[in-house]
Amino acid sequence: MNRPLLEVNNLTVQFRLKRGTLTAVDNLCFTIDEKETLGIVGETGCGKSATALSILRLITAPPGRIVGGEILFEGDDLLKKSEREMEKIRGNKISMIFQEPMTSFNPSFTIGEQIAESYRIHLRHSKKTALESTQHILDAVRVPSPRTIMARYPHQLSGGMRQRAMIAMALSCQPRLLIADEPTTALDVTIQAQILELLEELQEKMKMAMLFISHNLGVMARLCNRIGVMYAGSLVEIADKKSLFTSPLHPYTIGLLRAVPRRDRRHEPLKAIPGNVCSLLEPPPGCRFHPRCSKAKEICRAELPSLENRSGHHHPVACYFPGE
Amino acid sequence: MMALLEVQGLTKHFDLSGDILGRLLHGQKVLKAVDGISFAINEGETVGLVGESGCGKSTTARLITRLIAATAGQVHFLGKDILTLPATQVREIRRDIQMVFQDPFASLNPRMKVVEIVGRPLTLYQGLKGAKKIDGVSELLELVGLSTDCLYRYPHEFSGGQRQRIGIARALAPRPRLLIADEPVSSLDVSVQAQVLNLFGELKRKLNLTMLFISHDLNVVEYLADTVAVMYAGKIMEIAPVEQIFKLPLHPYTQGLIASNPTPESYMEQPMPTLRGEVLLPLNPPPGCRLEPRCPLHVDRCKSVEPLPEEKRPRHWAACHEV
Repeated sequence: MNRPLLEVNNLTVQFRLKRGTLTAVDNLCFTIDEKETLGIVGETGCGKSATALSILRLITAPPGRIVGGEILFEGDDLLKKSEREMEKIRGNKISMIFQEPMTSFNPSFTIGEQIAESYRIHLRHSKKTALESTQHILDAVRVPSPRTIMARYPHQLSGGMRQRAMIAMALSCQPRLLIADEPTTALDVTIQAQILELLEELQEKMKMAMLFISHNLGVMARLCNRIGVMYAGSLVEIADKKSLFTSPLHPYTIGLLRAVPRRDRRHEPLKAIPGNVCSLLEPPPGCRFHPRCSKAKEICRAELPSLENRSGHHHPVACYFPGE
Repeated sequence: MMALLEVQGLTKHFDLSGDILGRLLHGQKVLKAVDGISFAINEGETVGLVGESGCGKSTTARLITRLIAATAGQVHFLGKDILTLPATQVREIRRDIQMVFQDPFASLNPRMKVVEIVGRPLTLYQGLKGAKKIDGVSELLELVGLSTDCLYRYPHEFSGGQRQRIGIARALAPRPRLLIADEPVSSLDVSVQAQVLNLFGELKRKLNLTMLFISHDLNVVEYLADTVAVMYAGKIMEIAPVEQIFKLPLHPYTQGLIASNPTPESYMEQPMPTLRGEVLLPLNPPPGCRLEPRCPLHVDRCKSVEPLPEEKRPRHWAACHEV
């Protein structure tokens, strides 16, 4: 087995706030293989986006800080690189697409100028070839009449078109890894379906790996090979897509799957997870999920379970009493 | 059965041409946000209004409550046309039609305690004061699953889900005949969303609530609604009982919408068929069907002749030439 493309070990990210120190990401470990799509799913404030930003070292400091761990990309620790070295990696070998393309483009430059910049900086294209390449990549993300779109400013495009332009920019240097942070959340469902289809197709063509972050299990189901479920800064379960949906082990995963209204269970009340997501400023002792868990016992309140293979089960889970 | 609310040819056009100079330079620009829609809600029924952003769902809610003035149409409620009522009687209608809004952070006054927020309609409409008001508020809080500890707390002390419960308690306080809920669970996380959806389901059974439930989320609408109306670019494309519309959708837009909706069950399915192109904004719309540029079934006359809703199966209306 080859070395994974990305290996995140014991990543911990904290934010220093007036009210105290918030641990957004807590001892997180996962790997992504070449050409694989790993999904990370979780609710608001569980640390999904902080994880994505840490990989590119884009956590705003202060108040944020990567406190510990390592992020090995092609064997090198990204956390040990200088800012200059990181600039060569961002947008080149690893690139990212964000939820709201309106705020991620610069409003005072045309779409064409912004995409071409990436060719000029990373691939040292001349102005003319950069513009030609821009046209090609916009064509590849199926933007109708790329030349017209290149001359437009971000606010002149629709949400779906902006997201296509954003994907074009992210893919301009043929990255090895694409990080997509809720890329379809701001879009309408019919447009979302188009973008998901496009991402799937481009990944196949460009043979890149993808880290796909979302709160929507349905979207995950569509696109990912493996899925990790995140709660309060840690992964509580990670499995290939099929096992996760057919035999979820962690009570939180089971709860999430049951909380989505389903056609075949229309007449039953939804199985809601009681309570609210815990505060990361003062997380409960032991398992972070225990105050909302119906199976919690003494040990859950005392000790944080680690993410590991438990006897009788086939994929890693951070729970002392996994399964239904 | 008499319908509690009957909407006929409801229309709202926004003129976006600006001043006279803009009109001369760029011609008249009219956004036909809601364009001649008709539907009815029976007593005890929940109608789900579903559609993508900009299709006119929220404008419809605002028209029915007379928060904005309609361009044309009629809204019959308890034997009166809401749209032509004099301003003095509108307030009475607002007691009978209450709303729950999307953003629970913006729709509660941050300077008021829960007892005042929920208690005010009790004072205004039922004249309850003092201990009686507090009893009334406590009862309502219990109904929506909050404890009486919440009485003297401010909105910021609550989580999103709890705030939405307060919003629901406030809406139920004047004992409305019709509850309009505009994307009430869209800003909530999945696990909390399920709690609030369960609450709506429970209230529906307990109080025999009549509801207009607006959402962009098909799963949510399917869970709560008895009848579903699908809107696109200011028009209703299809109306049918919930089982029908999800099992046998007739309109190509409904079919596309359902196919585009990713669900956990779809994890092994083949790629979904998608509607091509962009969502149409009904700004100076062409005369034909609004879906025509995106429609897989379109024929020549879709461009010029607008399809009207027809009862294609019993209680199942669709506005399409080709089905």
